[in-house]
Amino acid sequence: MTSEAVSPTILRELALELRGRAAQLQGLGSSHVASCLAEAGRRLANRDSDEGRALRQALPDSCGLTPAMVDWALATTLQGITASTLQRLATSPYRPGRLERPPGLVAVVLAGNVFTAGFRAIALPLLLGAPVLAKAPSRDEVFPRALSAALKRIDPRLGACLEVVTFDRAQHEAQQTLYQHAEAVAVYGNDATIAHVRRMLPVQVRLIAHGHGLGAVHVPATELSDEARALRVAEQVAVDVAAYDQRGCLSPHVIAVEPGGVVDARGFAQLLSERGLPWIEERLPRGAMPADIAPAQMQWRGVAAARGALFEGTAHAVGYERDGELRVSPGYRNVGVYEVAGPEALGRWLQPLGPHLKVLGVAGPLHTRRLVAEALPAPLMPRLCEAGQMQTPPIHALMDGKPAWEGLLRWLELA
Amino acid sequence: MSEGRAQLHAAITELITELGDGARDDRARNVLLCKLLAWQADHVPAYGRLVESRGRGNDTDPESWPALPTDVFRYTRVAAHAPREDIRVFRTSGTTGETRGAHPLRDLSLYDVAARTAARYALFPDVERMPLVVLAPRAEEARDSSLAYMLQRFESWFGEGETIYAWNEGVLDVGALQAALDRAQERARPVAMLGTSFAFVHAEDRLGSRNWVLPVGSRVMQTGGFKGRSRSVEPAELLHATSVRYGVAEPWIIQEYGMTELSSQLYENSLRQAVRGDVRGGRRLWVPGWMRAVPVDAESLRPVDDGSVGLLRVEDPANLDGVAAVQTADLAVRVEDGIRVLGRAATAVPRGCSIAVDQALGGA
Repeated sequence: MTSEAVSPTILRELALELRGRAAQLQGLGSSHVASCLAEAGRRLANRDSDEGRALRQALPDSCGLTPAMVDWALATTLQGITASTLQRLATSPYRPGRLERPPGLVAVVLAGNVFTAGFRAIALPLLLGAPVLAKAPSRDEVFPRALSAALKRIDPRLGACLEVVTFDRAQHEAQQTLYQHAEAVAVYGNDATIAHVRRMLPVQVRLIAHGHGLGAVHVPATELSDEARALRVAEQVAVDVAAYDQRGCLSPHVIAVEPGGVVDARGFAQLLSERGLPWIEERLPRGAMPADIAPAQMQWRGVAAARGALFEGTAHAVGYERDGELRVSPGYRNVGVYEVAGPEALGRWLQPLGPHLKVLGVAGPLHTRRLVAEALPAPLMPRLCEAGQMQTPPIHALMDGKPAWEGLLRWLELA
Repeated sequence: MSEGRAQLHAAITELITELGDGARDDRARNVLLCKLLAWQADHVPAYGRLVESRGRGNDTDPESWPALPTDVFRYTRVAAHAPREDIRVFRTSGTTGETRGAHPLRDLSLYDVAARTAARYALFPDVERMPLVVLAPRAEEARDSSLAYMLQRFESWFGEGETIYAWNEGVLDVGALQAALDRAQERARPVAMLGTSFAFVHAEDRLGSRNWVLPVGSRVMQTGGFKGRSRSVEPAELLHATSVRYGVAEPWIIQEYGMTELSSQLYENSLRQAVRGDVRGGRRLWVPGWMRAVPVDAESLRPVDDGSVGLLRVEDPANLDGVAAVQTADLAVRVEDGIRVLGRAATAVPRGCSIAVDQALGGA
């Protein structure tokens, strides 16, 4: 579903109207806003609601994920959201002598690769008392529009504080209009998009950049102490790889396996390809391969095979390159397995990724993750979680090592 | 049972020689390609690992054997021999920050026989020798350039008199070019202009309003695209501009398709057709009888239907010490009895992942 691109004139009017509603939004209070957002999430996640049914009908075509994956995405992202978790998202540490000011208007530029990311991106400013003018990706505006419609139905006063627009990024004047009327602009996209927006922003507008990145997985030898345990890890990792067809910035592209287990790195690669990924593919089939990805996949798989081994399935491939240099895959369920000895070596191996490493899935218990975290060198600051949960972070999780509200709130020191 | 290298070398040389005049023996070619790929699976480690992953082929259908993607040449050595036996290593030009692909050779004899045979057929079918004007680096300036090597060999095989190099140290030598063309015009002696497409574009930018009417029989060979260059020109536009600039009829201006990773080349067929007065069909690349060039589906890697666009898979038996089946990322379509290359599919940076990540990892 796509709508007509909005004109700069309409954009300006929308922006001014939204700014005029900031006081109304703040008057609703964050508790009420949180309740409404939680209710909207519940309706969108519900397969039997009008909103849920409409979303499940429209999304596969617009976002390219299969119906099963769309259903999984909605369920895992939205079902656990409650008013209290949303409130936690927006809570900033109050300090006496500091005045906290929400923005008068936040422009949110959404990316198209993981549609559910739009929920938090839109919810956060609203919770902080800032109206939102959201630019949806032109090729997939279904989810943000559905969220907007749901909020309008639940509470028209809150719904009136969110508008969703779309226009081609080539429309320079529309972009300028969007940015010049906002007090802060939150951009979700690749580095080229962020650089482009940064160049266009007036100096008085704050940029909150959420650049694209990737995830990685670490499998300690202790988790490969027998075949059954190794299979369980393979199934967990398969969920992380398969989710959103490996398109998002939380998707793992590389798996670092510690030597010394009963199942070695090559064995784990084979297990993931022959058992883990087929298991998840039965439940969450992959969407169609875009034409511009297939050539990259061809090259990536060939290099993996030529440097080590390649285990291919009908809709996935796992490469094994032992101690090869870290190579980012083209996504779409292509992942590389490498042999990396222990947390210290892991930290050095991942270090070049820098802030682009958004999440590190670690198989095993919490104390294992702590060991890995303690060995991670700067500038790495991923979220560490158990394998299998990389793509389902809680709504209040840190992003790039920072609290959700950072950059959105303006702090004034009163001396 | 795999044949020894010497036997394969002899068989490949014989095949190229026999098919050099445009003859075809697809059965013999296919059988030889399969023998060669089987030998390479056992002797070229990188290819052997690919075959282990994808499976060995059969004795008669080269498509049953996997093709090695061009990116592999950037990441690992592709050779049946040890580095100490290299007598030449050709390297891709590469873009900024990108690791360059390498094609090591321990023997240039097959490269030479393939290059000479194809060029004789398609570029010099009507003359033994003629003066050459080269718009590409000399081999001494670009020792790892397969194009520079090939043109140096052309000088000895097809050149007459002094070969003029109008591209020196990365810059067009406008004076040398103009002088060579003036001389050709004054002496009414046809010349062959050979060079990269972007060198010809540079010439367009630098020659201002000067045009020539080169003697009949003059010809132009252009090769390569514009990846990483500041300016690119549509092929039809460059063809017309070249024709107008030098006074060479369009059929006598042909594209050469070559790759660092290959030993043989493909040429457009219009010049040969013009010489023979046998112009048929649109422009297309002639695939020498000893080679195969097949557009394949990017995902399944199986041949696409005629007329459909696919990624070009090239089988070249002259690649004895490397790999005879190369999977390129070039978009191509089968056209009548040849192929047309349409450009290159982007394979460098995956969607959704930043260029900065790629650069942080060394840009490979």
